[in-house]
Amino acid sequence: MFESAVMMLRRLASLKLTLVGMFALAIGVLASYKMTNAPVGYVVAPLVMLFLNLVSALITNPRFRRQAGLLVFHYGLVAVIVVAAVGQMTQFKGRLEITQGQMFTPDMVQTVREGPWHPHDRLAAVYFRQGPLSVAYAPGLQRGRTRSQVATHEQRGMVSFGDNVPFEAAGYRFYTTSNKGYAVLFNWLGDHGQASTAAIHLSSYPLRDWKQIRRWTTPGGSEIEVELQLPQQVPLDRSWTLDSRDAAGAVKVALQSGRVQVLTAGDEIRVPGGRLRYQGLRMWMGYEVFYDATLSWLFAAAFIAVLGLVWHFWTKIWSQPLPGVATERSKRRVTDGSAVGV
Amino acid sequence: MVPPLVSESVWLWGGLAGYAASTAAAWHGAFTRRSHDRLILVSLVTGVALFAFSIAERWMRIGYGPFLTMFEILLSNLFSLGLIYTIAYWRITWVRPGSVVALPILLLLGLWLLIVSAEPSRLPATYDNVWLWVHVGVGKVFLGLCLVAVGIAGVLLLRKSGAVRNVFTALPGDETLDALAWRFMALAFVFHSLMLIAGAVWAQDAWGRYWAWDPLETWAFITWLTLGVSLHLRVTYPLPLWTGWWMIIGVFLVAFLTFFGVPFLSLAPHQGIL
Ligand code: HEM
Repeated sequence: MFESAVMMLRRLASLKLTLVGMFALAIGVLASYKMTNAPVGYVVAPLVMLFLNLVSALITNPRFRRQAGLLVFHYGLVAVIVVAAVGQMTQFKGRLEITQGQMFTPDMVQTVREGPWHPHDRLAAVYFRQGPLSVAYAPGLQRGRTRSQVATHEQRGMVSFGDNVPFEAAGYRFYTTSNKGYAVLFNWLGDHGQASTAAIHLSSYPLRDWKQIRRWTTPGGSEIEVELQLPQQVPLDRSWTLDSRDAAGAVKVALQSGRVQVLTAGDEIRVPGGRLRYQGLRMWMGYEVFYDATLSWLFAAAFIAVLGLVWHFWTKIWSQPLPGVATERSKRRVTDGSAVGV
Repeated sequence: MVPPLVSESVWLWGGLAGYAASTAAAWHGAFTRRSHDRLILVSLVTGVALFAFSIAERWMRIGYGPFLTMFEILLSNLFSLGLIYTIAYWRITWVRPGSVVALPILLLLGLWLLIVSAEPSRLPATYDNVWLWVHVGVGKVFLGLCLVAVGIAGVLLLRKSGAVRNVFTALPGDETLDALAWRFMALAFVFHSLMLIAGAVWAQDAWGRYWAWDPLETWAFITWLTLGVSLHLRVTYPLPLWTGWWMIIGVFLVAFLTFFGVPFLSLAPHQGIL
């Protein structure tokens, strides 16, 4: 029984199978790259095969015991596969749009991908309020540095981040994106005393500066059209900075009745069921939300694997004399006396 | 299109002249069986230094390093490949015969440089990251080590083909040169592995994901796997030495395609699209 299990492992540990697995992986990777919506199995199946092959070899192949560096390297490969797989299971990817001044709440996040082991209510532990933001542009509307600020504690100051540097909270990383724009802030005062605030996000700016218009249904149930009238155009020929602190502009509100009114900050308009007060213009920021608790483990596994590799090549190859060197050297000494500096 | 002839400095031409002189000397030396080692070394060092000046001058003028356009990638590789090759050539005698194969490859990159636009681009904000430096740096070392091995493998294949057999008879035996070439490939494998790791760290910072199989990531992985397969083939089967020489050339071709082909055929984020 035990004997046959060992036999099985030995067979599974075949180095020929390793080659087959590596070719299959290369083909799987290229196929997924060429095809849209290729099944994940194209990459996962060869990986599983290589994983089983390698684990069997680590158990049964005596060459690993003789070469410790090689052992470390291949264990490192196993660790990378395992950790990356765990990462996929616990990973979370999402998108978020949040208005300046607004508190973060988990329901703002639109899930893109959630691994089955991702701790479900963990986002509730994230606490921040969106602060000001700015994006620098070079002539020709070339996006430069993005800066976003958030308050993580009401008393303390703001945390500033952007581009390469995400904001981190409860293990989540919030990366700034090119997606950001203006938000029109309205106060709703219902006829029966109800009051609320709404931030209407207009399309991404300056990407869609020609479409700063949106339909919106008021809490009173009537549909209105809100169009932003910015005092300035996007400058194409010079550097400029889009800064939430400079956000200002009038809004043109069109009611279903056909009435149109232009509001500046503080103005009100009467709509069915109540009044809308234009409180002012803010900006909203788009983030990519990412969670993967295994990142540092993955890095450590890969790095240790490389150290193992260096160790292996050092002992097996680099510290050894080249084959034939001794004889070559003595031959040369005999003929012309010169040494060969390898 | 701004041709480099107008916009770039005299340094670049000097660098090219240095590489051309060393290539010519290598071939002349091989066919006349004379040693031009010193001349080759001096012209290589001159070429590398002038390419370094060329990069520094452009960097100061346009405000960012050679990371983005085809011109910049070629320019920085002319420097880095030249530097690594020169060090190997200087320190290891038996790397030298390989110059008849390796130096023409370098020169080819230099000629390619002359026909691509030297127009500067703009560095995206996400490129301001130390991991990008590590990633690009170790990647360049990888390719340089491959170039050294390709030189040796190329000479071995030329000698074996018989066409120019007489030229290379004075060299050490196949086994010695083969082992030397694979020393470089083993080191190249280490550097390629480091390139993948540093690249993943940068990708996580820059785009919020460490690996997404974008074209460049896919091809870099294929290159790594090709080299992994080659190393495994050698320990799995007792193959004749010449098959290994072709493997070295194969790995270099895939790497070459990854470095100089893929980034410019796709609109992947790796290209730095804003
Ligand atoms: C997945 C199954 C794998 C198995 C069973 C396996 C097994 C082995 C064994 C037994 C050796 C030692 C050969 C010897 O020294 O005689 C070896 C060497 C090596 N393997 Fe793997 N390996 C696997 C995957 C990989 C992968 C995916 C890579 C990287 C692409 C890799 C890279 C290497 C390297 C670089 C060597 C050293 C070769 C040399 O000393 O020249 N292996 N492998």
